[in-house]
Amino acid sequence: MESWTVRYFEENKDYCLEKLKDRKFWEQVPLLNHITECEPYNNKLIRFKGMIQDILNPIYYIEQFHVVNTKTSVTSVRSGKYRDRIDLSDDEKILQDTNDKIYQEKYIMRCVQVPGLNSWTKEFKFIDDLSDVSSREEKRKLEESSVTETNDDQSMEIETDERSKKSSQNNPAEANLAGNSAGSSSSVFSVPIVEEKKGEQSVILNLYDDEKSNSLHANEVIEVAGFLSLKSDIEGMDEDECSYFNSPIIHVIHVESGSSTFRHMLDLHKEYIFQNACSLRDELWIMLTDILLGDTLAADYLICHLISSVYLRQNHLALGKFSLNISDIPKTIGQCQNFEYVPALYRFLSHLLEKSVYLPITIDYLNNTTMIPKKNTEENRLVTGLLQVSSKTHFVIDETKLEPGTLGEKGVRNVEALRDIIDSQRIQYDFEYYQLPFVTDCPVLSLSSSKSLLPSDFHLILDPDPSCVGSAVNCFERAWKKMQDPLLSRLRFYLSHISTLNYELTDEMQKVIEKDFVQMRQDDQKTSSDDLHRLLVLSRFISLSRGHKSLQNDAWEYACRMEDQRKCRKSSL
Amino acid sequence: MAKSNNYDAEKEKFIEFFQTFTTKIETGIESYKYAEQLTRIAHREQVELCIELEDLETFDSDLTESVLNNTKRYVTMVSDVVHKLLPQYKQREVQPIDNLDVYIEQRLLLAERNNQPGEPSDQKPKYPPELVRRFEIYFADLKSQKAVPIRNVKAAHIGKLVTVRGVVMRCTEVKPMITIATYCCSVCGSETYQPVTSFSFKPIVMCPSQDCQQNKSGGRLILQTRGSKFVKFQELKIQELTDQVPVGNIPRSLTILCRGETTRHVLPGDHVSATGIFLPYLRSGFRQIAQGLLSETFLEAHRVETLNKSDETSLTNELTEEEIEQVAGANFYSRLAASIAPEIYGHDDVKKALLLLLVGGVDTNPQGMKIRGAINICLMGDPGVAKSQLLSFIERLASRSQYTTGRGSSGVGLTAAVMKDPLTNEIILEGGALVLADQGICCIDEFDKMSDYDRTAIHEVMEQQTISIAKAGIMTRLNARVSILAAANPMYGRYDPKKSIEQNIQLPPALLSRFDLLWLIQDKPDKDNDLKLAQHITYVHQHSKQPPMDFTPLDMSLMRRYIKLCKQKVPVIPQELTEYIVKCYVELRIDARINKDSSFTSARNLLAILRLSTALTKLRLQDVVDKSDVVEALRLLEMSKISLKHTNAAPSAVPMTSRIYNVLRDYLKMAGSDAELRMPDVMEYCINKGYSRDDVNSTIETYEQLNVIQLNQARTILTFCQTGTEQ
Repeated sequence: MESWTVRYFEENKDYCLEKLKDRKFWEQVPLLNHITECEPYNNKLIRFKGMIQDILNPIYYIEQFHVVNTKTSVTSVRSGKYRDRIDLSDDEKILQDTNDKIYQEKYIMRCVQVPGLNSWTKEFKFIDDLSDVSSREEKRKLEESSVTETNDDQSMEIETDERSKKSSQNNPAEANLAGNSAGSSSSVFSVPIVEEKKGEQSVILNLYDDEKSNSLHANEVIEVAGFLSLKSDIEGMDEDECSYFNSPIIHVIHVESGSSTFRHMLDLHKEYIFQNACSLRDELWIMLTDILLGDTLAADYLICHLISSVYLRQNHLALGKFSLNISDIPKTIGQCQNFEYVPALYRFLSHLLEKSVYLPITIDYLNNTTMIPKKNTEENRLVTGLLQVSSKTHFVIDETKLEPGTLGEKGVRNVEALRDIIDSQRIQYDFEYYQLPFVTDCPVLSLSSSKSLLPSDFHLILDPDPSCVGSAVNCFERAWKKMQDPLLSRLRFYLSHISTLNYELTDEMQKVIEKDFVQMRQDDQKTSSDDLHRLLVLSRFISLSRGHKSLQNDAWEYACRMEDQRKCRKSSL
Repeated sequence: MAKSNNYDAEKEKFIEFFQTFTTKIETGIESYKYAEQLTRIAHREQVELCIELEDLETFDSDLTESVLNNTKRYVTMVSDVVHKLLPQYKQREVQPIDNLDVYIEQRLLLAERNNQPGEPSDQKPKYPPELVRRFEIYFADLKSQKAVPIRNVKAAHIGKLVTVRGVVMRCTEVKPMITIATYCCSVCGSETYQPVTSFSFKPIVMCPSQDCQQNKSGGRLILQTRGSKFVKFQELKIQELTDQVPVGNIPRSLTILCRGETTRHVLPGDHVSATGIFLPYLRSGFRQIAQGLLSETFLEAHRVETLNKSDETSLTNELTEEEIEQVAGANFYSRLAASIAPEIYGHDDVKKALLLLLVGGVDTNPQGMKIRGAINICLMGDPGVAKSQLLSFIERLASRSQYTTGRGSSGVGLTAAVMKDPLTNEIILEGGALVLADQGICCIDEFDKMSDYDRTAIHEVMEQQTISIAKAGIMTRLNARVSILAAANPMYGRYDPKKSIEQNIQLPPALLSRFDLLWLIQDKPDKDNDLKLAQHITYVHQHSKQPPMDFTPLDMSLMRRYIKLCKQKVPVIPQELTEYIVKCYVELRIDARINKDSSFTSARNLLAILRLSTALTKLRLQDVVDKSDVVEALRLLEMSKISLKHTNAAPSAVPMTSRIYNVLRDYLKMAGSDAELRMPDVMEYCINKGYSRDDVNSTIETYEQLNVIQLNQARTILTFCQTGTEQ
């Protein structure tokens, strides 16, 4: 693989592509994301994981052309594919006037590191044996464990990482200093959106496969393999392009959409997760109850929120969205003055979720942050915004620090955009002369002191246990202590995958629901169709969180009870 | 060689085409379309010669095919042909107009003088032919050729004529671009010409003339601006239109280069349609070597036009017979109405009213007085009854529309703002939502939450359909021919039927009366409806799709086109009907007086009836208003009143049958007491009052059994038995 060159690839295309399909081989290709010094990898095979941030106009290149050696006057055919420049020796010249120049299109995409990717995902390596780690304790449960290879070092690494995290948690004051927790370079707090200026963090992909390229969308997460080509190689690009393209170029030979090692591992453990959904849920529920200061109802809602995903989209309707607003967060929590509840909560969640973004909303923040991606027509590129994320990225909005103030034009737009995501799970990108909607699938959790500024599907008033409020730090400690492998890894898998189960609503249940709804309308005329939507979504995720593939009566009743309790808290104010 | 022969033959064909092609202007009179243009070009009265491929197609379709596929080549060829033909069309001498003319004339005279008689003149080819040509050749694409989405313009299109549509993102200033550089030698004085074809050129330095070469005098060349030929040049960048961008994709863009007459047609933000040749950049010199592999592309414009102007005609394809049939089938009125926001359940009459709003009535201008045709509707209702969804659907459906919320828009944001242009420092007017929605629909959500000051701005728009501005020295009146669709929440959270409308939503009567229809949407618990609703929603969740409906909602674009078609009609109200309408109006007034109606009945209601009925006629694509239209308009008006009156208050104390009976008695009173009423009239009267046919029939049956009313055998004549005893 080290020796692969463009020419070698072109000559042995089939063999190479076949080889790339081998998981092991694929893993061995160096990953550009983790490389700081690109120089040694120039013109070598490399991998990159990222999100398509911008799709530019295709460029035409000449697939084949003739080169003549002026000394020997021998002509030869050269390929223009997978290259930025022609390698000509001093004696060689391109034959300009041949008619067999074939113009082909190559697709140019700008790829950035996946925004909001939490740092723990980096630590994950290709381990076939997560089940093996767990098997030490739970051998009985795991009959099917297909152990292939043990890699104790890896699992140790994760555990030690956890331990360091735990120790940092023991001292809340220290933990509040952002970024010291995970021990990795990027902290959970710095919003992990790629900064434009840092050239090495984004790459320009050159794709040569028509069909594949057309099927790729903006904001899609992909993993590609190709030949790296560093900027210094090309001369004579237009000035304005130069600044934009000042990032490495990868001539892509293979694309895997949405692929990541994490997901691959997931496939191996799917069965286990589905079968043990109920017990996993209970474990998670206990942890979340702890960090939600003893509010069990909030924990129920939060689980549904965390696993939610949009499963149907029709006109304005996006079914399966589950934006949650937990309000009435107590102002002072814990004895420790500088213990900040919401950041601590976010840190906890970000350790479970693959991708998440924390938005500490203040007037300044709203007025000064670029959230909506905007097309820069001068430079012909899409300037990214905070809200340009791939699907399944969780937004956690912290409104507790919001003070009264005036929103500027930008602020209003930002609020509108957030509202749009919450209401219909889409966001309008600004293309100067028109706006174009892009669909999102980003669950939004907002935490506020009183009812949120933003709308929400479920508005829940937090009802903390007074004893927990006093000892919030201890509660968190207890929860962190639980967060250990193998449970931690399983929960991560559980959260990201449980909602992909096939779910159905039986006809009998439908009858029950219809009957109940009519009754609800009779009892309280304020009950609207939205309430029914809400109940159906809620019961769906309750069933799924327990690993059930169809709605059972108890889940439905449970959902109704949850909603009743939630409304009860609202009206008791 | 065979190829060039071919070209020669084609040249001949073009000559024949120019000379013989005729179009019929009127019957009997034919005009030589291109020959006439050539004459004008010969006399320098016209610059561009636009060859419509449509015409060429009728002449020789093979040739058209070749032109489409290798346009650049044919532009050169046709230029040669035209150049050759021009002298034939010259009927008189043309006075030199500009510098270049004079310059060339002088050279010609000089050449003539130098030419010894008898010596064959070999001077001719010295001038590049482009230098003296003062015309430009353009091709217009076939009309049948559809615009190619920018996304689909691919390598295969290189060299071909394509038509694209897009939004102009950027356009440069119009600059002169050199096409022929003329040099003069500092030593021998001879002139040298250099045609420039690419975007950069390398000036010639050494004099190539025979004298200098032989004498080795090393004469330097000096560029002569006066003798060089420049063309206007402009670079445009267009971006894909929203409807061409697949979901989840970033819009693509395309560079268009305009020369000569195609420049200065568009501004940034315009929607344009451009026809041109898709070409790769020709780079010369160093860059070509460095970048030999890559090539950027552009469209060499042959025709650029903004779509805004010709919107109506060129953008919409006419509805086919089939489509009209699809729309105008049985029940088309209810079907169209039901296709509005099909995901919202029920509210049929509201949807019908919205449909009429989309179509609009007829604008009239009797003796300078302007009566608006635009229909204004205000939807009121308890929170969460899908008002906003209806609004946003209408906003999407209407071809021209603006959506704002009461709180989000200030008076300035609605009408027009006086701004200072940051570039020129000039004071300019910038239109607000109402101006931008001219000839369209302005949807205003949360109408009640607007400040009073802002709301006054709407008064003028809603009746006069104009906006007057007197700010910063600018005094003007802008057109705002908009239909306003407003949504408002009741004052106290829920609509209180005991209070009047004005009290319920805090809007002044002056503003309320400007709405043709006020609608109160309420969400009343009702077992059957609730069950249907529950079934609907669970179905969606169960099967992840909308339940099958009794009808398939019409496609949005089809509706849009149908409505456009409807809008072209200008129906009139026949004389016979006016009396009927007047009668109905008088009744309305009487009713209002008797019932102490909480709503308003004024002359504006009469106009509303007229607008609604003409809108209905338009919807039927008819030219004359029918009585049924007026009946339906009255029914809608009545329904809207009922929606305001009988709110919440459980089915009123008086049972339906008694109410209908009272109505019948009223009618009897009006008709005079000969006590014999014609059944169809009775039915119509009752329906106008908002009662259904079935209810009326059942009432009559009930009272017939009580021997209060009698019907004749044929059920056409209705008689009251006890008229005598009436007090």
